Amino acid sequence: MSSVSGRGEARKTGLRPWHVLVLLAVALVALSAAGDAFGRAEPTGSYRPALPGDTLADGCYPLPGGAVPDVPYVVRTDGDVATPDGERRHLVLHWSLVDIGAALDGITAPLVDVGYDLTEQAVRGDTATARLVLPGSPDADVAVTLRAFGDDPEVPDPIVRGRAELDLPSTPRVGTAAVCDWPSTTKRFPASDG
Amino acid sequence: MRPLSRLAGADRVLVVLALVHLVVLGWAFWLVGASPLHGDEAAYVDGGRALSNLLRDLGSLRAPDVAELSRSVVASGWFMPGVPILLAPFFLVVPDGDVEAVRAYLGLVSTIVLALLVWRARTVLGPRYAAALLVMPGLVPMAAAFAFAAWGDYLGGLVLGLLVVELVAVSRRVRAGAAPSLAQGVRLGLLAVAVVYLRSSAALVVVGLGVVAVVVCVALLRGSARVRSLGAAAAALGAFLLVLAPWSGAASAALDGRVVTTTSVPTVLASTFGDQDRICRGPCDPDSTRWFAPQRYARETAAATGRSELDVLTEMSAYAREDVTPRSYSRDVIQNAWSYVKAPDRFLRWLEAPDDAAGLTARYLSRGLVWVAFGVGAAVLLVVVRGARDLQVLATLLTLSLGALMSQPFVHVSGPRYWTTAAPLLGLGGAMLLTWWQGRRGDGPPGGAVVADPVTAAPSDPVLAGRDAAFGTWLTRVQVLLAAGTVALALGIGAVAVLG
Repeated sequence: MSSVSGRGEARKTGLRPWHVLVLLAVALVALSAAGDAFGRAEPTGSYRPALPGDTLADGCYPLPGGAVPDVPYVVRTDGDVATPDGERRHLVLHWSLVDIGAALDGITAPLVDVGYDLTEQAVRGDTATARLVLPGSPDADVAVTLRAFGDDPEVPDPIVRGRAELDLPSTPRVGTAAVCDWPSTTKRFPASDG
Repeated sequence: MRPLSRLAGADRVLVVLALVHLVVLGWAFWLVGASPLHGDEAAYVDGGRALSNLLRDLGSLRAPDVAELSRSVVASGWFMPGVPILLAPFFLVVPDGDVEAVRAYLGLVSTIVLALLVWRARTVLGPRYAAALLVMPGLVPMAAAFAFAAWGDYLGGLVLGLLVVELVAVSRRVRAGAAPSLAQGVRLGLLAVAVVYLRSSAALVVVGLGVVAVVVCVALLRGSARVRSLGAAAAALGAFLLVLAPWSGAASAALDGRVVTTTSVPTVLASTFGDQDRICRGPCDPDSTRWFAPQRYARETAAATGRSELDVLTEMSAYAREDVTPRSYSRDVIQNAWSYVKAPDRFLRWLEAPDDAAGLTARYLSRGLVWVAFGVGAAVLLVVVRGARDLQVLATLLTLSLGALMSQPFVHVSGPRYWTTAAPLLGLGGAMLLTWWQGRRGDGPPGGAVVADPVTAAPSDPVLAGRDAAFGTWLTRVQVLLAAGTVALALGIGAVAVLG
């Protein structure tokens, strides 16, 4: 039996594998106790980067009147696009946890709270639309289009429920927080606006 | 007199090969020793730094910096901290150690583990197997370069080699009618969990080997020996779980979800087989990588909803894989398998080895040797080894292990690093096939062959001998099944990829 012959060799020298392990463990404890004497290591944490900010809630590029959707959402893309009516802002969100009707309400209600009038609202199956106008500001209209992600038998009760597109008046950068400098926060990526 | 001189001769060969290995190590260090950390190496080294701070804090009886551990050791739960644990003592003494020192230290650790494996192979299997390990991976400059790298693949492979060698030793004991001791059980459990810590995707291999070991014990042992063998199995499992628990617990707590080994599986499957443009329920942020961008989306969604990012990742993966068909899957598997084998020397370039004569020689030598080893691996998977029982046991263990390692292309985009985990098994496989080939040609047991050990012959007790013969029949059946399964799988994947 090999293990027997292995042990036999060890017995000759008087040193067994577990002796080595105990010695190493003792050395490690001693080094740990003296560890402060050598200084402290500085991990970079590069594989768990800081979570980006939220361009709407952090006010980097806020919604009109500083409205913030009242539904769990993440911003996917943002940016200005040229339209026949001039520069318009095209913002794409993904909303979570609630159905399409509640999501539409969650996006429109905060805009109503800052002075918008809800002029149109429709929910048809997997699609929902709304239009909002700001009295006295003809260029400030907002159009909202929601599409629910279809039912997926693999994901019976999904967290992420659908995609919302907002057609908004163009907004300059407002927020000055450091997170607003990151494209990962603003989701304003070069040559991409969803 | 003759066996003694033969042994001395074999050991002379081992000493020469070991010296050549040291030369190859020196060559590899000269090529990549000062290269900056590449890709995931950064994560492993960072984990080592944070763990050294944990030791410092514990040594000074301070509360550990949980936030730092969470961020740099668990991070997103992708990588188990095998290499960080090995690096912790280094950073304890040299907290600001530069990359060259880190690489030198890792090379020292890898070389000690390789030496241990060679020594155990020599003791258990014979000098021929030890020599084979000093050739594969010992002579391969690329493998030597990985000895200085912070990925766990190469080291994990060496420990897996140790596990296989220990299992051969245990099989002899069991065939002789004795249960493995509790200490052997603990040792196997510790080796198995070390493999998983170093290379979490090898969990399939070690779990498979563990199940096979228990089945063989129950089948071959009777009475109290059988009960004691179950005790040894429980000891192995206990050691395995005890060592795994701190990681699973810490990662689960840090990420607010259930983590056993790694969190990367859903993202890996989505990225490998799914639609890249659907992983983030649409395209992911274009300013990041295929691994970090989905992670960011999951974390943002988790922050917005209060749900676990792990649940978000699982859901994203299912969505991205909605349109996977047998044909698309098969094609991706073939693509992965090709990436696995096509350029085993690629990391010399990624680790910035110079393009001069020394660098190019290292590259081509590595590629040639590893390709030959791949041929050996294919033969190990396909050849049904009969004859000495011991050789049969080794052949079956190698086939099972290599087969399980080859599950990689079926679940993960493959790269030119994964072969290093299989390398020691390929080395052992080469020696095993040579021994088998010589036995078939009737050259008799040459110096260093497994069959030279008296224990490897059939037990003298007629009852044990009968069981041992039945065991041999079963090993042959298993090997035929594995070989046929390999061929069927390869043909099936090929057929579905073309016709599906």
